Amino acid sequence: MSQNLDLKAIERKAFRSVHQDGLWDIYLGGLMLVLSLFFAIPESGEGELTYMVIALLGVTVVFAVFQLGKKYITTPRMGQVQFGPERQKRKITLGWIMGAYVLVTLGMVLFSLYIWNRSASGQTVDLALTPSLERVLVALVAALLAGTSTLVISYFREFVRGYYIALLMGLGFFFPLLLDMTIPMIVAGALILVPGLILFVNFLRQHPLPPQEARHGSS
Amino acid sequence: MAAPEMPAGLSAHGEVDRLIHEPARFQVMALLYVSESADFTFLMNQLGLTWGNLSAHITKLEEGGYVAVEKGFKGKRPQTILSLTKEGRKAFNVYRQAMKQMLDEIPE
Repeated sequence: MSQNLDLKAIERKAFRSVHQDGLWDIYLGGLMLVLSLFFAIPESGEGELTYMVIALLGVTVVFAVFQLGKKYITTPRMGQVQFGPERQKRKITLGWIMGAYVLVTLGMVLFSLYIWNRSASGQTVDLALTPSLERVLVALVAALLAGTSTLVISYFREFVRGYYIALLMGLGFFFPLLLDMTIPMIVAGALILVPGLILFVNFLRQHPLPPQEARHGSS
Repeated sequence: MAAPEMPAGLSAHGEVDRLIHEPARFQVMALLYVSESADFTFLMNQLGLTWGNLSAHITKLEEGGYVAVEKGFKGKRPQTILSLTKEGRKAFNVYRQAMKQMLDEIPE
């Protein structure tokens, strides 16, 4: 009986069970695969618009799969739960931190565009960076943004597999930018996606749709 | 001849809330205590109970005034949300304290 009185453990187990459907892994892995299209654009720039449109469509599809999958496939099987005020507070804090990440990323993108525009128009931009150092720096910043943001989400959501995903995302952004290769990102995406698909299939096997009465909650 | 004095822990056992003491109901109460609310499906999955079994326990807890059953709609789908009432939360706290006290007072 005494082990049953460990309420924190009961709460943690219930909270973590929300991630057992594999949809987060599928979403993040799919996102990496779709984003790898940006790195696949040929040097000549041929078909650049097509690549970008496909990638953006892909991002939309991956996001829709995640949202619709949660709503129509896994939530009806898993059920719904609302956690206490402590969890709500953590959710709000995470929202603020992610907002800051978006602003920093946006700032980085705008700064890069500014530098590229000045360079393209022949104006000198003296950042005292060699091309190779610039490449390392860009790869490092992108990897840190992708990796640490996933790490923060995993910490706040107690999503244990998220730490592994964060590492893969960091590496998946670092090497393609450093080496100008698409393969590392595809490999990272696949290493995130495949376990997610296995988890999803297992989840469906272990969680059949509950009887109509339970789904409609009648007692 | 006077009856032997009962250890304090065992005397507390007589005061334990029988409605909560049943293992499945205890688990339902514990899960609803750590969350604000949950639906039937979530409880069934977490506790490994069948719908019929869970429904019977919920009915008893509802009749005891420990669980509130709120029926509504989410979009077009009917939804029933379960949560502990103030009384239920208080009763669960009292139960926890009584159990802890009882277990602590049992000699090694």
